[in-house]
Amino acid sequence: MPSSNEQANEALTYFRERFGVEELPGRVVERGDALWLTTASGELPEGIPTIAMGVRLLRRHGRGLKPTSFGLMLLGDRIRAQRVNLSRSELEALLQGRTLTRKDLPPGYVALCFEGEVLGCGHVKGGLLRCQIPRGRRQELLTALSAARRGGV
Amino acid sequence: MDRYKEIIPAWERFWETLHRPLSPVIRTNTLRISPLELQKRLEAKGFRLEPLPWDETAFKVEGEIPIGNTVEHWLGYYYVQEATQAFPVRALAPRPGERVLDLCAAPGGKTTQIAQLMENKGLLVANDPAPKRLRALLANLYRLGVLCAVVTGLRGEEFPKGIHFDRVLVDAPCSAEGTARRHPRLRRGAPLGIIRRMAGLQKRLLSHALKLVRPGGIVVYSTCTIAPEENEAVVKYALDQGLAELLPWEPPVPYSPGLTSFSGEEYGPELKKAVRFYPHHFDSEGGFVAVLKRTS
Ligand SMILES: C[S@@+](CC[C@H](N)C(=O)[O-])C[C@H]1O[C@@H](n2cnc3c(N)ncnc32)[C@H](O)[C@@H]1O
Repeated sequence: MPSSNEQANEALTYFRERFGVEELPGRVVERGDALWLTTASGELPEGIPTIAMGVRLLRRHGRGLKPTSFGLMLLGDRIRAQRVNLSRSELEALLQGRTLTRKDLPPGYVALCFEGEVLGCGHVKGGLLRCQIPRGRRQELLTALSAARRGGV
Repeated sequence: MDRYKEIIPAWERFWETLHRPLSPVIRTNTLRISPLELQKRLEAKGFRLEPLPWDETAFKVEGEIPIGNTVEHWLGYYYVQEATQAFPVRALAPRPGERVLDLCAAPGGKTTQIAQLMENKGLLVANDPAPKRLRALLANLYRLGVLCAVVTGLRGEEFPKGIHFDRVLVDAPCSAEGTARRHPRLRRGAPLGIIRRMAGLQKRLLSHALKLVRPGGIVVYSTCTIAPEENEAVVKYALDQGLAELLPWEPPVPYSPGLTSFSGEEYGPELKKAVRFYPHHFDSEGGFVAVLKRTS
């Protein structure tokens, strides 16, 4: 399993330049089409097929990189740039698959935030913001938001 | 469950408890948040939290909405884990920097608890052969931010030797009689055919686990069932192979010692060192824990 300085540098450079992250809380390994963040000491002997190692941070996407939502959530407060704070109604709209017009945002990937916490990945193109959080997770968050409303909070 | 009348102390209370609902218990994800901070956040949302006296990270929860449906849960600040289910990992007592194998890991309640005790440092191998359950395991590892885990999808009894683990958890597939409060049809006990089939697999898993741990290393065997055929009989079978000894373990809650015999089968006095949990002892589910140490 390749785990070289090159991948670590590539991931760190990406997060530093795009998201203002100064340090990653683990080492970076490349598996398939993705870069993973792990603190596992050592690796399994050759021949044991592994399904995951730590948390997937970035996927290779054409010639670029795309951050994962779990990866951004994990980096949380380390993310200093491209944080987009959303109101509850904006968040619900995005989770329902709608776009928001945000001419103020530069194009590319952003960290969607709610009440100060990073939830996951969004994407801006031509002034339109879209949610990149996977469908199942989006649905769960919508359920949680509407349960909280019914619960009176 | 009538066949357990002779072994379960205060049978009437046991039976009555099986008919009472169970309040959910949550375990703070200490990789992400402190118990105090979590308590404040959930109380601000209208939940009532009562800390468990024996576990500073766990709370019994009451509220109007299901505790699995909150933004805090979605963010990975806690895991919904029944009180009895937290004991196998406490008996395993993993430490930062160790090499630990969770042989039957999905959906990851205990894997994530192990990662917390390891403070995300060391090597934690989380294995489970069931593809659908593996997906739930992955989602929980990502949600809680477990970074020290490597996930594999093998049959536990075929897990390759070669890494000398410090600790192995065998939280075996079982007939789940201990969960009868949540699954009322189990109140009449699991069918004997299922119990026998499970026992065969459990014996293979535990004896194999003893070969995966280093000499001096610890294997914890746990189930959420009452059937002695899946508990004491499995541990006796593994001990008879001469690789391990049983260690005493004192949980911080009321419990019953392991059985020395049942229904004509002799397990021997050694088995008293194992631990049985019953629902009426601390208002929980039922379960079994045995701590084995590899000797040679
Ligand atoms: C009691 S559950 C584990 C619960 C888990 N430890 C937790 O705390 O969330 C038992 C698990 O054993 C798995 N299993 C079934 N057959 C197995 C085998 N041959 N080897 C390893 N695991 C197996 C099942 O898929 C199931 O996920």
